Amino acid sequence: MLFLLRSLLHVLHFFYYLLTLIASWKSRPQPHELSYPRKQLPRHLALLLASDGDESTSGDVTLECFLESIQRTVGWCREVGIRKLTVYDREGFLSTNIEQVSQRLSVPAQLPQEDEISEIEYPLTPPPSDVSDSRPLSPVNLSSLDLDVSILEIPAAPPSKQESIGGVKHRRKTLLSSEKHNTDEITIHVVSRSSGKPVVARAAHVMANDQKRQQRRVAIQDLNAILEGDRGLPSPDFMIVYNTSPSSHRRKRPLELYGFPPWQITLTEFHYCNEYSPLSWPWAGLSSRKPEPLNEINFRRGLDEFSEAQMRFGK
Amino acid sequence: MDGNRRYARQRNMAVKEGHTSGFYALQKVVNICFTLGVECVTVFAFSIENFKRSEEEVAALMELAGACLLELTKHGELLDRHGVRLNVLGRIEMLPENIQKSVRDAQEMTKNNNKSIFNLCMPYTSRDEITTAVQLAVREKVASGLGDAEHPITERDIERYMMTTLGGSPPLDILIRSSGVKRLSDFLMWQASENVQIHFAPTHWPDFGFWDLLPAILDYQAKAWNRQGDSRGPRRLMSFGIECVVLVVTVTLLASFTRLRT
Repeated sequence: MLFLLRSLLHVLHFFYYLLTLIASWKSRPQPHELSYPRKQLPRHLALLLASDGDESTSGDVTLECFLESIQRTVGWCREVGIRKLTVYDREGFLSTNIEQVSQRLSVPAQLPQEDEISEIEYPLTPPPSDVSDSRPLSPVNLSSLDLDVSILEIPAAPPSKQESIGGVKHRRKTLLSSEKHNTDEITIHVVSRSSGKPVVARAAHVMANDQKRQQRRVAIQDLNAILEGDRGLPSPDFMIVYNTSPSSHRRKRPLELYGFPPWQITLTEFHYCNEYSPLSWPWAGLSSRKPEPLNEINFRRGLDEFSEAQMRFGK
Repeated sequence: MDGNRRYARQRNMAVKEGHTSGFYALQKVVNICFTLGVECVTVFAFSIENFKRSEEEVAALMELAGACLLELTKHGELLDRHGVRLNVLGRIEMLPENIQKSVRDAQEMTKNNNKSIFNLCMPYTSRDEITTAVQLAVREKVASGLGDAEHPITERDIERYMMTTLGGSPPLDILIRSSGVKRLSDFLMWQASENVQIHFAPTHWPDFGFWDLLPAILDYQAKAWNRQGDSRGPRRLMSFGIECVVLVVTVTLLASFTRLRT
């Protein structure tokens, strides 16, 4: 009897699998071009790269795939005018190989300028005068807190035309031409799982040491000031979640966040790239496919989705 | 549970009626979950941010919450049938006094149930929950006097003080948001950031039902089965084989049944 019920459950799963496959074959409308004047654009985009389900691929191949995805994304962000980018991978491949990330991104796009070198900015100790009165924590304790966020500043290339100021003003409203934004500087935060929950715990520990003297209740603003402060990770308004491993494209897998810092995802809009097809199966003749970097269609589809999202903020 | 107001507007109903329809959907879905054997269900009933809404709507929502709790205490069959313990999570002190009393009564009434848990988040935000957990961990550390680097506060300590954990909830497995919005909006962010399958269902909450829940359950089962067996292991092949056999048998039976009918 139990065997029969189990078999029925398997049949149900099989039909579900077929249904999701058929649904995936339905052609989705082509996303708008990058330069299309979208209603709204994210100010801060996060790219979550996962390599889930990929036991056979080596770390190097995965890293290369991540680097390629980031390089492409930086190019698209530049074109569209997104100036803040966060890249995340759970294991920290990117954080531990930050020099490779930096090298990869310092290759100039089109303009051969000699001063276009990206600089690695390691978290600096803020001088005591920067700490405002509203922060209850002592500067000494705060500066010793490792927030595990690497920040890369990719400088703007010198503009070819005298219209950078106009470009900034109109960036939010319409994109008149993609040329203006090729020259924007971009700030990139590179984070991993250890930039999330462990940092909240570390912040708590610093507050505990501080509270011995101050007896002040922890408020949301206190934690926020630390976690989203100068050396921390600000909240992204849009996140693209992409799994590079070929096995993730074999069947429908729901969205997961792979340990992304929990504090910063309050109002983040998610776009999950979940194309899947039976052609991804090894027996379909395309055996052991390599990991694939993020492609432009995914990016543009994400932007289209974001432009349609409505924010209500609880009201 | 998103989409009550949009549901009402689409049908030219008052917003209050949308929330009432949402309440019926809640009862239905909670019943389905516990019948299926789900151990713990957490719902986002009211955000601290929702106090920004019009006084009229907030009053209506509070009235509905009061009615909901009263229903649970007076006609406790739903909870008793499944042995459900009710936890109300959030800043209860921000609720009107009469609602606070209903909350205390309902929790008191079900506190000895231990088969399953129903977490009603109101008024709640995830950031408030994380901050409260940090505060509790800090207070514990200060009281214990061990503030040095050898005994740091760990993420496990914070986890222990999450409202869901304090209520005895197991780790979160599935998070579903209705009405097609693809954000967490300050709900269970700490719990959902890892090992949780997140679904964004296009249906508005009052219309949400079994068929919206089913894909999430099936996806979870597939993940659990994948975890049990190796991804290319013989078990997967075997289950695939079973599926084929059963499918062939089912199709054959259906075919012969149809032939018998004609």
